[in-house]
Amino acid sequence: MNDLQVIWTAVCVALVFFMQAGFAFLEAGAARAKNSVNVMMKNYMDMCLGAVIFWAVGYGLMYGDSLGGWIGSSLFFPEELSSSKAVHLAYQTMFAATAATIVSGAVAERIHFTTYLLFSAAVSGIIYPVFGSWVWNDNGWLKQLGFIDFAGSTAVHSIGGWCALAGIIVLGPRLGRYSRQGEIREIPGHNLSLVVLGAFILWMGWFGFNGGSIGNFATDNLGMILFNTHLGGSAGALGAFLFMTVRKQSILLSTTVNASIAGLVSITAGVAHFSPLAAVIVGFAGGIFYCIGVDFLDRLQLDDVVGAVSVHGIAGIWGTLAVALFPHDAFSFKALLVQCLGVASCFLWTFPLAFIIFKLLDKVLGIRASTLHEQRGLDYTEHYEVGYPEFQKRLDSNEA
Amino acid sequence: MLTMDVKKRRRQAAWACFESYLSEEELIQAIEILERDFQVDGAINVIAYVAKICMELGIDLQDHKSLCSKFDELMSEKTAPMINDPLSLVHRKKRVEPAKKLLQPESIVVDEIPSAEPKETPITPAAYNLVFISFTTSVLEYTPDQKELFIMLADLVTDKKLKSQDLAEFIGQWANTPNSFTWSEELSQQTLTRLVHLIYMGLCEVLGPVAADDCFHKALAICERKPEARLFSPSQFL
Repeated sequence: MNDLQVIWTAVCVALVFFMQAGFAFLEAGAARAKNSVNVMMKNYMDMCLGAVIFWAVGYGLMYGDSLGGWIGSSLFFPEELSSSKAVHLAYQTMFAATAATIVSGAVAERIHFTTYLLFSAAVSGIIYPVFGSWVWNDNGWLKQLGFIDFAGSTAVHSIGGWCALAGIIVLGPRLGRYSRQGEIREIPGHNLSLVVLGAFILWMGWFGFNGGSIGNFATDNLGMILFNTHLGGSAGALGAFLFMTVRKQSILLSTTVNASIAGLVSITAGVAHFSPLAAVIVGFAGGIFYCIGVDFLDRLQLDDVVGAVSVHGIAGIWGTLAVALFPHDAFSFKALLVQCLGVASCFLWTFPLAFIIFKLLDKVLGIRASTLHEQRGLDYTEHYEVGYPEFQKRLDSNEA
Repeated sequence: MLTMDVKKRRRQAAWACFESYLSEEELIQAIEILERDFQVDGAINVIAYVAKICMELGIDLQDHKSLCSKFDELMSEKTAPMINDPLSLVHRKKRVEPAKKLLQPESIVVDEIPSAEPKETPITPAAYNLVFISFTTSVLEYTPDQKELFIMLADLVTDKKLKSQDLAEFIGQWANTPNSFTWSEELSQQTLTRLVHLIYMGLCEVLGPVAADDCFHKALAICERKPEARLFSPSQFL
């Protein structure tokens, strides 16, 4: 890494860090007012806890000397770091925090804060870095096979998406989200402006997320990466817009915003390899896949508050496969198989492990907040403070 | 004019209801309470008023239901009860009392201690009970299909995971007579809180969580305007 790359990566560290604010706003806005503090706290604390854990063990598992291409075995608790190594560690720490925080929105409004944090520690310390070592460690077995995931459609986003899926299955839906007759009840978020602001921040951070993953300025076209990123996000929103229009549905802001994020997720795996036209097609389809995914999960009565499984899991699959479907050179069936293998191995590693961890946490500590806590809101029951005290009453008050 | 007549009828009905239970001084006190806090329409108001008088003036709570029925009967009778407007007695008392106080200043202490004590001590349990009645009545008013709600509540109390089987008896009684709350009179604040939560769960299942929150907020707003809410905030049930 030359000096210019170090500086650029350092800028990207800040941009990807700022994505945490984007996630926090988007998720808090999509939750009810009585749970907004809890959502913010989860986003804040999973980043803090994840940073320490990733530095301690995650980085070593991911980038340490690889044991047979499966797991890193050195670089734990790194102390002596050159400038380029340190900035790489910082950048990867932000990636780990991103993978972890995706879960937060899906399980919002009904999970205990402490058990969420414990799960988040497992994502940053084990689930994400082990799979990351397969993909991004020089000796990782998927990398050796030629698997391409430029900035982490699978390695970051799908990991978060499958963890979220495990979480919502173990937790169950929010009280009354689905009637006993199978009717789906919408639970609107308390502040759509926050959702949009969060999406804008995420989009801005994505330039650092994709742009910071370049190997070097000589071989990778930074400008094209940034532009493709923007095209992918834009096309995602347009895809959802078209989908809703054709199906004669209401044109929902929340759906459009999430679809643009799905477009960004889709573009992430092949952003350095796609032409602008391919970027538009991939992002556009990502937005549509998001809409289909949300409907599908609702039919299964899987309550995903922010649509994280569809945005990050399903769009992540599509983006990773699209690398082989829209190749820079000639289409290769083998490349498509390798991409499929990468997607499948991500699911097979992440989902069962996350499911077991959630089940264990449920058995030992209990992950689901009681229905009474759901009624009162987790802001009050988990943190003893409320997000909007001017119009929210503290329950311990005797003032009528 | 009509309003004045209804108020007068209410005073007469109250007097006739409590005549066999209370002394004249207590009856005047009951009329004062009626005038101060309960001169409004609605069945819930009658229930709340009778409950308050029973608790404050020491009438057995088992008589609450029959007193409410009697009150309703008296209010609906075509001819007025054959008694004068009790308000005249209240006014006469007010005129006499200052004179008595001027003559016997030391009697102020003797008069006020006994009337102050029963007011302070039992008022809190009475208040939370009244607030519960008021709150749940308002919730029912905002529930489009009460029958469906009661079916859901009956279903929820049998759910072993919720550990609410002990509430089944009360839910059953309430479902049979939705406007009568005699079953709730001796329940603790904790039990009433559990019942409120069960109602919330039932509403979530029947109407969805958004409508359930809306229903609770509206009921809370109404309840907070009631005089008893000054003694016990309905938000403590939430």
